[in-house]
Amino acid sequence: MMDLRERANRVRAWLAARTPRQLLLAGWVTCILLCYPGYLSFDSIEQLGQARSGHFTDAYAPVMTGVWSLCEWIFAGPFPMLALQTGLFVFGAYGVLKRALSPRAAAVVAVGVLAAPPVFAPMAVIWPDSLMAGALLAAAAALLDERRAMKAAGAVALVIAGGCRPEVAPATIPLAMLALPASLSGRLRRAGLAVALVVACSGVARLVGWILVDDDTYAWQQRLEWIDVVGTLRRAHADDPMPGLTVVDRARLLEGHDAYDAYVLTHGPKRVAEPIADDAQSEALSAAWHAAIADHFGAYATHRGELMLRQLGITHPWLPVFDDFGDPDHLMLLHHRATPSDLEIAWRAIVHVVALTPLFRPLLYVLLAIPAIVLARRRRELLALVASGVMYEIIQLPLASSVDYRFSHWLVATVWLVLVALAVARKPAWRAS
Amino acid sequence: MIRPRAILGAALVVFAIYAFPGYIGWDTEAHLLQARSGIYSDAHPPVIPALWRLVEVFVSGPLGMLAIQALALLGGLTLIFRNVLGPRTAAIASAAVFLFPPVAGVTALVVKDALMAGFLALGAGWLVAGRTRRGLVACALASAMRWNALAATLPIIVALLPTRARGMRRIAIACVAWLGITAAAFATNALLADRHAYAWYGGYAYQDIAGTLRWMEDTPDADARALLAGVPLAIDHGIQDRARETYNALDYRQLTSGTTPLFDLPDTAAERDAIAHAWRRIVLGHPGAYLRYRWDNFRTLIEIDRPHTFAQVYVWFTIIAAPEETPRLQHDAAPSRVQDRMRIGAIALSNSPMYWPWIYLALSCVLLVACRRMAVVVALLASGICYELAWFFLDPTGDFRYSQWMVTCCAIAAAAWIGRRYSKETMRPSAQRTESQAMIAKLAP
Repeated sequence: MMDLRERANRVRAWLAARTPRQLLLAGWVTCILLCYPGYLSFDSIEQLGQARSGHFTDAYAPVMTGVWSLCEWIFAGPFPMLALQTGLFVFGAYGVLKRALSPRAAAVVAVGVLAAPPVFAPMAVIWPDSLMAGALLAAAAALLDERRAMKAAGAVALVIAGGCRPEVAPATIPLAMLALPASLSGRLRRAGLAVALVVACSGVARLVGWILVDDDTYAWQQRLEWIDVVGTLRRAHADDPMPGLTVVDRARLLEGHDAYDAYVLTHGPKRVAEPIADDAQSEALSAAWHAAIADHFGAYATHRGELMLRQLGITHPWLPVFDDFGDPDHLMLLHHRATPSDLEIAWRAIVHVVALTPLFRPLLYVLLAIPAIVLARRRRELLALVASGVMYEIIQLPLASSVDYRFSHWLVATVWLVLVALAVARKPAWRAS
Repeated sequence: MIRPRAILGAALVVFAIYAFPGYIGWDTEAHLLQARSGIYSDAHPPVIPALWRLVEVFVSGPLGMLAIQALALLGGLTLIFRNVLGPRTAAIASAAVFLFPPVAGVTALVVKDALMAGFLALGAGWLVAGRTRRGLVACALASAMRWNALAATLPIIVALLPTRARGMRRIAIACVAWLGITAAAFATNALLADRHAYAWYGGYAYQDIAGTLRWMEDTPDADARALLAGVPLAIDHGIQDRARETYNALDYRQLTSGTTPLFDLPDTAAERDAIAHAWRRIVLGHPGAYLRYRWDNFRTLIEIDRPHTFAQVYVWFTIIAAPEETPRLQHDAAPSRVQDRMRIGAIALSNSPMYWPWIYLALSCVLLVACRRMAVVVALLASGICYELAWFFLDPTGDFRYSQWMVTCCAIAAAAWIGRRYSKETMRPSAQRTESQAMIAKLAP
C-alpha cells in the first residue's frame, strides 16, 4: 500500500516536473493519435488530388490547397495537414491563454479544449474550417507578441485563415486589434488600423488564391447564390425569369420550400438548373440573386432565417460528427488508405455519445457567448476571441452556403477557450502573474 | 553551437521524411495481418505481431512500429556513443550512424531485423551505462525478434554486463544471463504461437537437402531415394539431376513450386519427421557438399559476386510484387516529393559498393584491433561479426537486411574511432577511467 502511494507520489512529482512545452507536445501528439492520419470527406479527397496534381480550381480554398501542396513536399497524405491544423490550434491557444493563465494552466487548457469533443470533431477532419480555426488562434497569439517577426507571422496566419474561408474577414477585426500597441490612443483610430490590416490580409489572400487557381468553377458564388435564388423564389412562389441561366425544370424550381444544398440543385437527375460555366452565366446568376433579394426580400429573409435556425441546431438536428478516412475507391489513385486504432475507435464512440447532447448545438454557444463576453470584458485577448467567434456566426446569417456544424466551429472553439480559461483563472495560483 | 538534442532531433526528422509512415514488405504484411487477426503463427517470431497488436491500440498501420525501431536504435546509439565520446560528438556520431544509408535503409522497413538491431543497440547502451535490468530486457526483446539473435547478444552480454565478479566467474555469470534471456525469448515466442507453420521443413530443410545434393558426388536414384526415405518427392527419377537443374543457393521456393519442383510440401507429422531424418543423413553425412553450397549462399550474402539486382533496399509502402494485397492490408500511402527523391537515391546507393557487406566484415576485423581499448565498441564488433558469420549456416535468401546489424556495429566502431581521434570534445581515457571507477564504486556494497 505504501509502495503504491509512494509510486503515485512519484508519478505526480514527475508530472509536476514537466514543462508547459512538454505538456503541449504530449497533448498535441495525443490529439493527433485520436484521429491519425486525419479524416477525409469527399471534398478533402478532391482537394488532396488537386494539391498533388498541382492543378488548382476555386472549388476548394486554393490557399489551403497551396498549403497542402507545400506540405506534400515533406509528408504525403492528410497527416501533415492534421498536424498543422491541430498544431496551430494548440500552440496558438497556448499563446493567447498564457496572457491570462499561468503557462502550465494555459498548456493544460489549450490541450483540454482541443480534445473537447465539440471542438475536436471538426479539427480531426481536413477541412478549411479546421485550418482556419488553427490559423486564427495562431494569428491571435502571434499578434499579441511584441516582436515584429511574430506580428508578421500573425499576418501570414490571417492570410491563411482568409484563404480558407474568405467570409471570415470581418471576424478577424477583433483579432487584428490585438496587434496594436496598448499605447495607441483613440478607439476609432485603433479600429481603423485593425480594419486596414484585415483588408490587407484579405486582399493578399484573394490575390494568392487568384494566382493559384488554374480553373475558375465559380464554386463559392454558385454555392451561395443558387440556394438563395431558388430558396427565395420558392418561398415567394415567384416564377421569375432568369435570363442567361439554363433552368432544367421550371416546375421543380418552385417545388417545396427548402434549398440548402447548391450541389443537389445543379447536379443529378433532379437538378433544377445547369451549373454556370462562364463569366456571362456568372453575371446572370449574380443578377438573378440581386433581383431575387430586391424583389422578394421577405422571402429571402425567411429563407436565410430558416437556414440559420438549422445551422444553430434549433430545427432539423443533424449528425455533426464526420469521422471517416475516406472512400477507398475514391482514394485508390491517391494511394492513401487507413484504419482506426483501438484508441480512435473508443474516442469516436465517446464523441458520438457527446454529439447526442446539446454540447453539439451551436445555439448553446450563442447563448454562452453572452456571459463569456461579459466576463471577459477586462481581458482583451479573451474578449477578442469570443467577439471573433460571435461575429463569424453572425456572418453565417447572410453568407452560409449550406447547413453544417463546422461552420459554427469557430464560435464553439472560442466560447470553450474563453469560458474554460475564465473558470481556471478563478484560482489565483493558475492566473498569469 | 547546436545542442546535442537538436542534432538528434534533426536526424529523426530526416529519417521520418525518408521513411514515413514505414515501408512494408512480405514479412511486414505477415506480421500486420497476424496482429490484426490475433492468430499468431511461428513462421515468424510471434512476439512481433503481439507487439504490433499492442501498438495498434494507439496507432494503426506501420507508423508505431517504425517509431519503436527507429527510436530504439537512435536511443541505443546515443547511449553507446556517450560512453566513448563527449555529448556533442556523441550526438553527431549517433546521427551519422543512424542516417548511414545501409543502416537507415533497413530501419525504414518495418521488419524483424530492424527491430532486433534497435533493441540490441538499446540493450548495449543500457548495459554500458550500468542499467543492468533495462539492458537485459532490451537484449531479451532483441532475442525475441529473431531466432538467431542469440549470436549477437552473447558478445554484448559477456563483455558489457555490469558485475562485481572478475575473470571466469564474471564470464560464467554473463553466460547464465545470456542463457536466461535467450530461453525467456524462445519461451515467450513458443507461448504466443497459436499455429505451427513448420516453416523449417518446407523451406530451409529442403533448401539444405537440395543444395547438398547438388554438390554431392553422383548419386543414383536408388541411393537418393534411400537418403530421402519418406520425404514427399515430386518426381520418381532423376532426383539429383533435378536438384542440379533447379539449384539456387539463395532460394527454396523453386523446390516446391513452378514447373520443375523437386519436393512436395509436407502435410503430415510423418513426412516432417522423414525430412528431419533426411536432412541429418544428407547434410551431416556430406559436410563437404553442404559447405560448398553454403559458401555459394554466403558469398552472395556478403556481396562478393552477387549479380546486379533492381534494389537492395526496400522503399515501398505496399508489397510491390503483389499490389493486390493492398486491400488485405487496409493500408496504402504515397511518398512526399522529397521522399520520392530520397527513395530514388536510396535505390541507386543500394547498388553501389556501400551495400557490399564483405567490406564491413573486413573493416570490422580491422576495427576490432584499432578500437581494442573501447570495451563497448569491441563488444559490438564481436556481436556484429558473430551474427554475420552465423548466417553462413542460416541464410536462406541473401537479403541485405540480414547484414544490417554487422554494418551498424562497424559504423559505430568507425564513428567512435574517428570521434576519438579527431574531436576535441572526446572523452579522454583518464576521464573514462574516472567514470568507470565511479560506476564500480556505485556497484560496490
